[in-house]
Amino acid sequence: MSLGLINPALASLSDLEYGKPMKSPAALLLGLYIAAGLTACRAQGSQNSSPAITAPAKPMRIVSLDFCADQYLLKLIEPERILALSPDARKPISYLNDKAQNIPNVRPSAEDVLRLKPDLIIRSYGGGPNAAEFFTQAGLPVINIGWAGDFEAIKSVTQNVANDLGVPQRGQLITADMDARLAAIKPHANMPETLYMTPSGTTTGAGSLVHQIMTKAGLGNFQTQSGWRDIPLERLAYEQPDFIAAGFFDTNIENAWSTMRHPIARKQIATRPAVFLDGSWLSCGAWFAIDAVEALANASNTAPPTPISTP
Amino acid sequence: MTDLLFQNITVTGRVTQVDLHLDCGELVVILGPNGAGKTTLLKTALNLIKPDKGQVFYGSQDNQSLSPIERAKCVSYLPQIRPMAWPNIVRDIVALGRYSHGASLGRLKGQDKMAVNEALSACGLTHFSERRIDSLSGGEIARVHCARAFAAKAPLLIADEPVAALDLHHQFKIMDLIRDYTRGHHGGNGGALVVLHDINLAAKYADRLVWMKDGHILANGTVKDTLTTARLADIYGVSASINETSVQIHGVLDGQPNPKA
Amino acid sequence: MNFHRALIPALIFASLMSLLAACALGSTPMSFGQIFNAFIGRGNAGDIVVIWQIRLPRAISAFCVGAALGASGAALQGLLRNPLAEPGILGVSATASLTATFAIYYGIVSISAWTMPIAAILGALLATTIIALAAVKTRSVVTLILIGVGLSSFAGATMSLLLNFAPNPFFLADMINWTLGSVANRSFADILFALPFLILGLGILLSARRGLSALTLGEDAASGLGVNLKKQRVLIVLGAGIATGASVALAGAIGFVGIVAPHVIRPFVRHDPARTLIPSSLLAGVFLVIADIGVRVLPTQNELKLGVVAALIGAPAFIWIAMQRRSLHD
Repeated sequence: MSLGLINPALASLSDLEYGKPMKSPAALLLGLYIAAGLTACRAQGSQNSSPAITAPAKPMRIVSLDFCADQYLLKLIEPERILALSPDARKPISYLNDKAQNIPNVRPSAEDVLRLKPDLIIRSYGGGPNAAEFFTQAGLPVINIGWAGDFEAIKSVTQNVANDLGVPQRGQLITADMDARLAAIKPHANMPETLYMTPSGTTTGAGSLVHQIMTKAGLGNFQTQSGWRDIPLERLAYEQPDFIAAGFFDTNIENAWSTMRHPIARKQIATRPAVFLDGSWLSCGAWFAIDAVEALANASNTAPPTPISTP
Repeated sequence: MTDLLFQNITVTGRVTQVDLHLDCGELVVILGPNGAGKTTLLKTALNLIKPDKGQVFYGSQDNQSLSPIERAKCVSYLPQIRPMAWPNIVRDIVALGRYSHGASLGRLKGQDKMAVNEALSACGLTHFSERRIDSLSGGEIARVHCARAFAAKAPLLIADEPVAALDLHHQFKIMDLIRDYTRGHHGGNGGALVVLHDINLAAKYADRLVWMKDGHILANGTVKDTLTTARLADIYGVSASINETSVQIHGVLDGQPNPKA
Repeated sequence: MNFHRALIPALIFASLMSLLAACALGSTPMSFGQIFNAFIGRGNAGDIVVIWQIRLPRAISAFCVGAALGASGAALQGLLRNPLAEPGILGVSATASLTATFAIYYGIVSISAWTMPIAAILGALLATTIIALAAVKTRSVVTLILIGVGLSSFAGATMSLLLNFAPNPFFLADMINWTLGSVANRSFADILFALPFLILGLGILLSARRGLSALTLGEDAASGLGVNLKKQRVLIVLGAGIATGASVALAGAIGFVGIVAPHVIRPFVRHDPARTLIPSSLLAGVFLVIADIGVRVLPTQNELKLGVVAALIGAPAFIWIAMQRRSLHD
């Protein structure tokens, strides 16, 4: 397992799941495990793999294995054709959770899923790295949603998924909408230095979707080092950002050792103008990430700070 | 001057209605087979076992009314020798005898230091005083524990088989030290209550013998009065011949009920 | 064997040096002149913040945790008369981690930043109370050990259950931090929270240490010397439980340092358990500060956890002690 695969794998987890790279050995192992199952080409975006078995022209019994796949399903397919969603579909982290209210959930285990007799499986990370292979062997078509690290990749992934689901026009609608919304963004002219903060105490520099979100909103990234790292406490002693982009504060909790717990980090959120971005916007690296761009672009950088729930 | 009084001591199943008085300056030896209740009786004197009935007095004080420190100031205890948890230095072990006087090892005050030095010299340990206890022989270790008991300068001494597993020289050496203690040396001025298995040793050193069997005291008197072949047969089930204070055991008596072993 | 007079001053010196060294390391390169100025409150405001609010609290946290565990380990080894005893044996660290994990699992932690350390302390106090009650009611220290083992096992099993039901990977990461131990991002506020418990626990231990010397002869003989066995047991258990609870609230469960420090100190204090307390405390503090320096300096992909470094050094030491003891006491 080369190091080249580890970083993107961890970063992919961060974009796909909750926006935080896990820094513990268990998470590293999890990352390696998933990376082992993913395709070998790890670029800023990748093709999703079309099903090895051809999907039916109009699949009627589709099952999704994780909450990222849930979003695509809920957006592109009528509810009657969705057999079951992942257990996270109704949680706050799920962008379209209101649409998921009346749709049953299923645990992404092979036994539970097969029992439902689906005719198509769609997943990004759900079910584990062997899921695609397993379901293929069981005779089911599986759509693997590719990983997208920037907006261009998001557009192509979305289109591919729509194609595989048999609804290419809906895919075009989404990508066109994305283009329109991005074009309509009025970025901040003065490029205020912005620090991205999360409850787990991590921030990101260049090379991530969050970074691109910030740049498209006309914000400069306070964090100069690329990749996902701890909030730079020592640097904050000398210089402070103009603006805070706070992600996942509605869905995630602080852990006891998070950099966010430190008074210096807290002070930034308490005293600088901050925009709070929903965790659901930032997970999964999908089209709804534009909500975050809009929120950041529209925020006045003289807005009074919003107090956070944890002191 | 503190005497030791057992009044109507009963520990269910082990000791029944024992009355025993130890006067100042007396060396009393308790003899009896295993399971006779000797150690149990000793432990009631130290409040290690609470009797179901009866009381133990140090002088006029009921030993249960005293705190552990006050008890320790009245009685020095020499239990059966066990391996120590840590390989401590001889001087420190002897200094533990001053625990009831508030001494902390390594920071001994004047009186405590003096008591320790005296005890070391009395037991012939002065040149061993900085050695680790695990580098000493069994006999030397027994002397260290004696020194510890003497360093307390308590009026009473209670010893449970202090010479078990020692070589001949040290068996007599330890008993000499205990007897000197009862005669007013080594800080003692009270009595000593000792459990022994060796009849000859007991006969040589005791002022009084106490014979126990099945939790009762069967005889309590001087060596001359209580040391008889009949007594040995009754208590131990052995045949013996006695000459003055030396006893020769011939063997097990046939037909005698096996004493509780 | 004659080092003991110089021992405590030497350890105090080592403590100060290690704290200074810890403050010299960090992501911002600072010259010794800058560090010195920051310490005395002069110089760049940013430097002062870095030293006083970021590096120093972290170093002091590591030291306090070590001090608590070193003293508790030394006291427990004296009470149980066994060089393999350590604070974890009471089940306090495991229970404290468990209650903290529950607080995270049920989302109570979103109420306040203090919910987690409070939950940890409550867990520690619960375990301590259970064992202290057992110490009052039973005569045997073996019972105490068994109850401690029982608590640890129960806590471990329940944490496995919670791991199983982990709602998200952060929960897992959090639980791992509790069981591996870390002093990352500690501030003086965290230290001040744990400090009263730390001082209380250490105070109780120090007040009860004289009896530990006497216990070397065995419980009966110690009682004969004047030790109140019940009071001795209760005080040591209380002191060790509270101090360990404070250390878990500050840094999660860190093991082994409580075994190794007393073992190293013993030969320097003539193997007297009472005199191992303060030096073990200091040595363990220094040990963890240095381990934390290692955590920050070693160029590993993910930051090493403090407890991992302590365990990597401590576990072989544990085995070595066990084998030494076997040959001594057979």
